[in-house]
Amino acid sequence: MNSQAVPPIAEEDLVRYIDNELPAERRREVEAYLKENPEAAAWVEADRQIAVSLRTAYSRVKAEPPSLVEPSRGRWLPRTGIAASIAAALLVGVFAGWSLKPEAGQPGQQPFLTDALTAHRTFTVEVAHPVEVAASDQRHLATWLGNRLNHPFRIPDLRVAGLTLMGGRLLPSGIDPAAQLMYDDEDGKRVTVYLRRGVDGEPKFQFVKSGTEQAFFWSDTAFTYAVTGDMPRPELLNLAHLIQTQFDPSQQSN
Amino acid sequence: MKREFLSGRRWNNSDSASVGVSSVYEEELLPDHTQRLLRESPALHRYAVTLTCDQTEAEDLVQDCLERALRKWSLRRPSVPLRPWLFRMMRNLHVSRWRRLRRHSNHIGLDDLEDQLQAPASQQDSAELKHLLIRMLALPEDQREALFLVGVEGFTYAEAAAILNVAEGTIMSRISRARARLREAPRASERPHLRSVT
Repeated sequence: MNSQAVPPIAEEDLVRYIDNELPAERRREVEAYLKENPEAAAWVEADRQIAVSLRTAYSRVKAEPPSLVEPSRGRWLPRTGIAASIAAALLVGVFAGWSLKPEAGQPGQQPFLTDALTAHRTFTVEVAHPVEVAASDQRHLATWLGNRLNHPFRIPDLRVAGLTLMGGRLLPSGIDPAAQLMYDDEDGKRVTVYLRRGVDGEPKFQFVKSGTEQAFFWSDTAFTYAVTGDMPRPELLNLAHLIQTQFDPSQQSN
Repeated sequence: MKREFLSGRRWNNSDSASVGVSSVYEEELLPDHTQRLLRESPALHRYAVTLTCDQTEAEDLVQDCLERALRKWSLRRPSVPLRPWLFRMMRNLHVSRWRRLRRHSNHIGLDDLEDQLQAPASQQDSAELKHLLIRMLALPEDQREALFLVGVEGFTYAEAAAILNVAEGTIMSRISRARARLREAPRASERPHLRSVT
């Protein structure tokens, strides 16, 4: 080693060495120097230890998830959708592990979901009588179910999602009747839309999974809905959007 | 209150009740840039703690920063790396807020801070780590920030210099001074004889 040509190692070099900020050549020179200077080597080692400990210490600082959702801030002008997305994502952690158990303050949701999922399981496997009133009698189906549910509604058209209406049926659900609409796709895969009068849930979509069935459920001012199917979740979500839009009371013509 | 805010109907493209679905999957339902911002929030929080030395203020700062980032997203050049962009933004927010409040930046409630650090009782080293972090936060702000950006977050001197708007050499010397202070452990018995190199 040509030690004459090596500029003396300064504290600055050691600092840069720790932070990986030295060119390769200088780095080798520092390493050679450290081998011969145990005190400096201990100094470097101590700093490295502190760096490791600091990173560990920082990783233990508790962080409340940022809540971009507090209405009091009131600064959301154009992009509320994003805020809602963020909020929803942040809520995921809070609700992870939530199952069919209803939250306090939302009585009735569990029976609703249980009924919706049970109805889905019961009738989607039915070969002979999957529906009570077939789609060929769609107008009658809508009027009849609307009357029985005590609120008119339009049967959602899901053909853009590749689903054709098979028909529907009236079902008991708690003290109120509920309606189930069944659709199938080209492969015969079935999806049900279940609705009951009353606002049991929330306007936002909530997701449940039970066995192979997955469902999104939500409420608007007239009904609580569940759409259930065995399909990839994003597809099911698209479907939920489609249904929600068509049920939107502000867009109801009848 | 969080839930109320979600009550809008058009955009509830996400859902809160999940069973057996990973959070990664949840995020797939979000717009790309929103996901990216969310992923930065832990790092932002660390920086915010470093800047404010206060848990509550740090949370406020992160929140302000993320809100601002969403509003400014369209103005961001795609070539600009996200984290430095956010760090600069948060730092500016912190500085203007500090000016507004005319607050002393270095008043730390050490006891409060201790309470805020997660430390399982079983962890033998946790007391020492707490202590180290408190001493870190007690450093002068310029040193603290430089050491944080490079030593904790792993930025290069050049990147840290760009975030703090100073020269690279300044970063080096601030880090050097910060390390020297941290090395001077008050518990002299544990870290002796490390003051001088030459």
